Amino acid sequence: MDGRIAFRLTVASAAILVAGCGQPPPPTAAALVFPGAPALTMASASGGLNIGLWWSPPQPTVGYDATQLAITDTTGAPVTGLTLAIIPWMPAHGHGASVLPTVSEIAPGVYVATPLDFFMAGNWELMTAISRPAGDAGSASDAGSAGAIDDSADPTLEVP
Amino acid sequence: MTRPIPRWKCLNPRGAAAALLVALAAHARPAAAQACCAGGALVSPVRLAPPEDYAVGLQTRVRNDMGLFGADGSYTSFANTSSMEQDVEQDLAISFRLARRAQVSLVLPYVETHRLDEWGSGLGDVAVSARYDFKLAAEMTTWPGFALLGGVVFPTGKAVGDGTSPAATDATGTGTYNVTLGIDVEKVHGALYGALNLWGTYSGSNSSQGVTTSYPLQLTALAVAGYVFENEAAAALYVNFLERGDTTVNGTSPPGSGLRLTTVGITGLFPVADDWRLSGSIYTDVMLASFGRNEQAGAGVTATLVRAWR
Repeated sequence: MDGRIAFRLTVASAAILVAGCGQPPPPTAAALVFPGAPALTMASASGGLNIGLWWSPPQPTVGYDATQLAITDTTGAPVTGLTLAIIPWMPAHGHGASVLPTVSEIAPGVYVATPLDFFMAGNWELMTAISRPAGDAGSASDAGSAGAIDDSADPTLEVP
Repeated sequence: MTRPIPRWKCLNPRGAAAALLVALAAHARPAAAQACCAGGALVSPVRLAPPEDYAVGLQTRVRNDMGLFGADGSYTSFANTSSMEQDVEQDLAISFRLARRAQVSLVLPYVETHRLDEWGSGLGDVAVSARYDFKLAAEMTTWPGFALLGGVVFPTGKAVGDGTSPAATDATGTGTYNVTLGIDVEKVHGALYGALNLWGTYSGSNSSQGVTTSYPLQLTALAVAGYVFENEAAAALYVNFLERGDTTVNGTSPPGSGLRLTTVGITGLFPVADDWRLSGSIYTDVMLASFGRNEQAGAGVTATLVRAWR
């Protein structure tokens, strides 16, 4: 083989290898869709809040997922102004995820957390701390003190 | 050495598996023609035989996860999902004889994981184990041989949450210490070899992302039945069973957070020279409901090349 051709092939091969060795982009969540009735309904730890949860995609999968939480008080009124801190956790394995979700309130009492970094199949728990500043009790029955955690909920799901 | 254990990523199973592995690593026998000596090497090639002073082994493992055991023990295949993952590992194992009946082993694992179209790798959890043979199987005519096994796994790998990969493929360790104590009962009869090992593994608690998890004692049982041929090759069937109760997360125990996994395999040993031996195994987790819990199920192969010095 001609020396120059061999050199070019070598360089091209190296370039391909280098390009292929880069860190792949993080998984991307599909467009958020929360159709129909909630996939799960539950009461908060104190019993003072009712929580409906939807998953996106509706059947959770390995990768980046999302959840929508509709939070109401015992009268059914939406609870606004909450701060939710969600930690995806695998209780059987004793670890969480590399990426923590951010939570935003997209409508009164409706919160979306994304991404849920379900990087492996199995039983996941969303360790959810629910807090509300003092003086902003919304429609919930118990106004907490500033920065204090009012309540919590730990919904679970199985990612196949 | 055969490690019929699943995943590196799952915190305790992995650590305990490593402990189990190291305990097994202290279990090897040389490529001698007799079942008393070749039998042990079927499941742990780096274990020193009576005339050996030290040994070095290189092992490769490849595993493919193909399904999932749910918290209730139900089994779901990963077919047509993106959940499949592959685990590859290379181990450097070293064994030293401390006394006539005592030996110690060190395993340095390098772990690679393929998940969600991403590869990650790094040093895994280093494991040290020891073995004391009160009675060697070869010494006993009626009763079986009996040995005490111990091991410690150090959290030298990177735990989930300490890495940067969204797919956690750079998580190579448990994030906590594991201590294993066990017994090994071995019996030889002509060319037949049998062994039963029982372990208890204690894992230290670990804290990550503000969550503290502690674990109950994990129990593991391994049964081996083998045959040693006249050409000094050997083969065996084995069954490994692992069980652990619910974990404690921030002071509470979520129900259904225990682990279970049942694995069956075939392992073989072939002496390639006086002081060299090659061993390998093929194994699969039993992918039937109730044979596992909160674990991914898969199958894999191992291959080990060992050099021993006398």
